[in-house]
Order: sequence, then structure tokens, then C-alpha cells
Amino acid sequence: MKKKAISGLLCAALVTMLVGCGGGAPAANNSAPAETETANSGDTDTSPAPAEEKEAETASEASSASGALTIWEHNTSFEGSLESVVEGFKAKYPDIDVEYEFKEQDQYYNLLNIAIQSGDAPDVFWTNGTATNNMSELVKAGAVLGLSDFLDTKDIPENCMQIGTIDGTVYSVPWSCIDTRACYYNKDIFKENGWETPKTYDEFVKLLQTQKDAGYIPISLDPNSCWDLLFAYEPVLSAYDSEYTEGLADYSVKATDKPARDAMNEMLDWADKGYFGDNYLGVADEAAMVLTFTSGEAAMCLAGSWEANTFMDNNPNLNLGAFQIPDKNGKTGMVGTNANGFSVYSNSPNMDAAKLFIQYCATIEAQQAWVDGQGAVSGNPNVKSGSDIAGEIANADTTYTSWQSVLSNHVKEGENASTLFENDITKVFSKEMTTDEFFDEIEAVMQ
Amino acid sequence: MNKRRQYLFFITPGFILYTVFIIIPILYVIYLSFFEWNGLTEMTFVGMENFKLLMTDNKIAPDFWSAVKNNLKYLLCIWFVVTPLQFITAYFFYVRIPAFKYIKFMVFMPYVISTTIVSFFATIIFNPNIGILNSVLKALNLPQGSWLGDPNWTFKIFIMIVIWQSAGSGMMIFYSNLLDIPKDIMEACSIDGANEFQKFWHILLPLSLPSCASIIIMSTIWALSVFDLPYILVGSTGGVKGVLDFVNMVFYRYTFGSVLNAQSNYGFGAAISTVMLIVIIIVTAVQNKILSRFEYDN
Repeated sequence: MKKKAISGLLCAALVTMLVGCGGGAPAANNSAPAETETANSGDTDTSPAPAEEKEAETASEASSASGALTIWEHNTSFEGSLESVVEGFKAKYPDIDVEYEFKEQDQYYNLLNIAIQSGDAPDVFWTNGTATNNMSELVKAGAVLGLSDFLDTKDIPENCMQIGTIDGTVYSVPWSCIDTRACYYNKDIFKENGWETPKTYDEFVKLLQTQKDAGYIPISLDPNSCWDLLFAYEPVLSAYDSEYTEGLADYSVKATDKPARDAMNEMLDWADKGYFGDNYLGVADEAAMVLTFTSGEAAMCLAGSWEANTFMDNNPNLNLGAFQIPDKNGKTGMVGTNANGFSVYSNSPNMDAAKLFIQYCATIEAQQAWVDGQGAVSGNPNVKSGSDIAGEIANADTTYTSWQSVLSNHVKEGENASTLFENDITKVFSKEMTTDEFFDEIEAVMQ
Repeated sequence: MNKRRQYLFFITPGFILYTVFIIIPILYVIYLSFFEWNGLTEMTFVGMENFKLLMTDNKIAPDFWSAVKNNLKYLLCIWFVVTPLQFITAYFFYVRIPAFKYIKFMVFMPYVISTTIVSFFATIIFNPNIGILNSVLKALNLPQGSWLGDPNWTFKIFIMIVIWQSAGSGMMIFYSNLLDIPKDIMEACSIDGANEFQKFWHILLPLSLPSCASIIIMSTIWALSVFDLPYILVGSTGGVKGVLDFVNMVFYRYTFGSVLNAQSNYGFGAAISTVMLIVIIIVTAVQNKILSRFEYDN
């Protein structure tokens, strides 16, 4: 009898391993089955002057569109922006219910894949566009709706659109902001200690030791997330060797050349010197990294431009400043990629509403709302930068190509360098791999 | 004949449910392990390729076997650390140590707290920069640690959290079992002059072995399928040096994650499950051998 019970329970455990994990995927809530009659009055006359045909068509579709939209974003730091955009959309289309969910950044694509596989995907979802290969995989699987047929993108510059376009077809609406990285600093701590923002790379390195000696953690870093490490590594790399970083734009240098390795070794050296905190390997996630900075334990934090809001939400009294780390000659650069936005699930049961939402995202109104919500650096002449801190972040002499985007764009056919980076960069910092082992394995799959 | 039909009447519903929800999914998982399938496109038959990849790939195989080792290490901790502690705690309540009702409540309470909250407490305590533990050590001028970032400490902290969180359930089962032991047996022991240790060793412990067997069976299943707590504590990669990387986390990464060729692969995940089934069968066989000695002849 007991054996039967044991085998029954063990079988259940096994099934839980496969079925349970799949079932754990958060289901998109598409419960409202599109029954309401009309959309908003006034939606036709809200769009002012050049009322083009496409807009008119879309607006008339709106009169029959209703239902519930579910949107997925990959990081809570975008909550302010998304809230503003949804608010603007709801003002135009009050009959469409909009729900949005924020997923754990590291697991975002896993959850999205599971939702798509189970046929229960959100109507509208974020991807990183062509910056990584996730969107193209989803396009290949037929999960992303091509938008070119109906989308009006006249308000978004051509260069911004590239991140949402594959083989000439638009699959996502990008945001008119540049996702960049910055060295955030606590202005009060700097003022109290009489520290100035560094004018050269050497001054920056010297400042780290000064801060350490003063009892602060110089840089708050999360060594357990590949993305947080990347957003710290890229600005260090661009300052460590700006000439090399410039070469990434036309791939005249390789992503695994000596300067890239040396810059990572430099960061490991900083780790050994305690510049990330003496026990920084125990910083388990991004939230812990943010808290270390906003609580005043750390003087600086290297992070994405989108984190400015998170810092301020976390501690509204924080006197936040930002700068780009200068190179040895004092030249500053901004490592940036255009920010991608939302795509539409090809089997969305709320297709009309999803199309209206995605069209709304492509308007100047929504683009400005997003940039304002982020306090972001604008990448569109018709959209203003979102905040004072954005001005500080954008105060740079040049813009560099992201090292990580080179991994996606210049990898050998059928290989995946981004996956290697995602899996192994944390191992370099925990010293399970050497820098050379890490770069060698990437080199083997790069063009 | 009539009698046989009656048996069928009772057995059939359970048999159907068990077959549909347990046997068929297991067979399907084994079937799936011979295919490559991302859930979106066509399934491609690849024969033993998934197993070969799991056993021989120089990145995947070490990850998998390290995770199996961690599961077995955790299992041993459950058997030889957590279960004895649960029994000793139950014994203290049985002999009614002072304030045992309050302590019993406090010991059991973490069991009803969700794992996410338990992990949040762990972060508040063990975070090296803002955690309480390092703050206290700093105030006392003692050396501080990175705790969950230190491979020497991670597993120990994990076991401590497991004890704190889940010791209550097994303890309550042991306690109920101890309360079920007939009073007249204990009185007879006292009359015969047995001291407390002799009562514990010769009466209470042997009579608790049936509940011990149940607890071990359940603990074994939990130990071999652990996922949530380590995942929340250190993330899906199992933390520094993969100290908390368990098979379910490997399974999750490779099946639903982008770790394998940047896309989900149900077939490969099924291969992991199938190999794990074999490991479970081996562990169960050993366990059955041991637990059969605890059974009473009725």
C-alpha cells in the first residue's frame, strides 16, 4: 500500500515539474468578451489638423471597437509612462478597458513565450525589437502582427523606427526616447564631501577610492543580473576606451577585442578593491541595488536612463544627479539604443482595440507622454526630453553604439551570442569564469 | 462475479482520474522527450538527441548534474537535520515545556506565510548593504558577509530558512502522533521505573516511526521538486556558483527560458524530467527499503 502511495506522490511530483511550471505562467486577462457597443464620442475630432485617411479609418473602427486590452511590460520602472499613455488612450476610447501587468525583467521573455504557447498571450506586449532576437523569433513563430498595413508612423523619425522593423515590415511601435546608461550620483553626498563630478576617466577612478575611504560604497551594483551588469559595463567601456567604442558602430572593431576585455577586468579590479561594496555578491537583485543607492549607502549607481524614476519613487527626497563617465581626455559619450515599444499579438481576441492602442502609441501625444513619464532623453525632434535629469544624462559629446546590440547584430547565422552573454556575465563577476573564457566563447560565435 | 463488479464500481473513478491526470501526462512527457518542440512550430523527431545533449554537452551536463547533486544534498539535509529537529520539537511540546502553547504557535506560524514573504524577510536580513544582519555585525565591529552571495553560506542559510518556514508542518504531525500514544502505556512505563530518556528512546521514538515514514515520504517529494524558495532568494541561475541551482530550476531555464538556442524547448525539458524520473525511482527504491523496517505487522 505504502509503495503505491509513494509512487503516486512521486508521479505527481514529476508531473508538477512539467505541467506545474507551465501552469504557473500568469494568464493574460482577456476575460471581457467584447460586447460593448460604441467607443468614444469625440474620437474623430480629437486628432487635429492633418486628418489623414488612415486616421479616419482607424477612428471609424474605434466606433465598433470595445472590449478589454491586456498589456505586458517588462519592468516596473516603466509604470509611470505606461500609466500616462493608457490614461491618454482611455480619454479617447473610454469603452475599451485596459489592464497592464509588469513582469520580472529577467523572466519576461520566458513568461511571454509560455503565454503565447498556451494561446493566452496579452493583446499588446513589449519586446526589445531588433536589439535582441526575441521579437524576430516571435515573428517567425507567427505570434506578432505586422503593423505596416494600417500603422501611421509619420510622427516617428525613420531612425527610431528601425528597432521595430524586420525585413521592411513594422512589428512594433518604438518610443521616441533613447535608452541610455548613466552614472547617477547623490548630489547631497557629493556636496557634503566636497566632491565634484569627474572631468576625466582618471578623476573618476580616483573619486571611487576617495568615496571608499570616506566610508561610502562608491557604486551600487547588482552582480546577479546580466542586464544590470551590462548597464554598468557599457558606460565603463565607453569611458575606458572611447575610440574602441566608437568603432562598434560600423563593426570596425570586434565586440571581443582587447579593450572590451580590459574594461571588464577593470571592473573586476574595482570589485576587488571594494568599490561595489565589500560584500557586493550578496546583492541579490535590482531592487537591492536601487535601495543601496537611494538609502544613501552608495554614492553612485551605474544604471539605465529609465531608472531615474525608480530612484525618485524609492526616495522622493533623493537629490539625484547624473553624468556620463568621461574618457581620459574628458570626452563624454552616451551609450544608447532607441527604445522599443509595443507589438500586437497576432491572435489577439481584441484585435480592433489592440490596433487602436498601437496606433495611439504612434502619435506625438503618446510619445511625449511616454518620454515625460520616463523623464527620458528624447530621440525625436518633435518630442521634448522628459526631465532635468534627462538633460544631465544627455549632456554628452557623442553617442555610442551599445556593445550588447553588436552581439545581436553581428553574430554568425544560427548562433546566439546574446544568450551566452545573458548566461555567463554573472559568472565572470562571481569568478566562476575568467574574462578571457567569457569573451572567447562569445568570439567563437561572432562574425 | 457480483463481488468483482462491486470492486470495479469503486475502483473505476479513481483509476480513470489517475490515468488521465497522472499516467497519461507521464507517458506524454516521455514521448515528448524524443522531439524538439518550442510549442509554437511543428514537432521534430530527434530520437535520443535531447538525452545526448543533456548528458554530454559541456555547458548543460555540468549544470544538470550539479543541480541533481544539490537536490540530493538538500534531501539528506531534510532527512538528517530537518526531520530529527521536527521530532525533537514535537517531543518538547509533548512533555509540555514552559509556555509550550505559545512556542508551538510561533513555530507553526511561518508555515502559513507565503514563500515570497519568507524570501523578502531573508532579503531584509541578509542583504549585505542594507540588511539587518550586517548592520548589527557592523555595530559590534564584527566582520560582515555577503551571505546569499557567499557560496560557503548560501546553502546553510537556505536550510535555516527551510527549517524556520516549514518545520512546523512535520512537527505538528509528530506531535499528533505522540498524543495518540495510549496513556496507559506511558503510565505502565512510569510504574516500571522508566526515566524520561528511557520513555523517549524505547516507547515514544519507536511508536512515532509510522508518522516519521509519512513525513519522510512527503519531504522527499518536496526536496526533489523544490523551486520557489531558491528561485526567489537567488534567481533562476541558482546564485553564485549555482549553490542553490536545483533540477526544477534547470528544467525551468531550459524548457521555458531562452537558455537553449534562445528559445523554449519542451522536448529538452521533457528529457530532463524523464532523467529525473529515473533518479526519483532510484531514491524511492532506497527509501522504500529503509522505510519498510518502520512498518508494523497488523
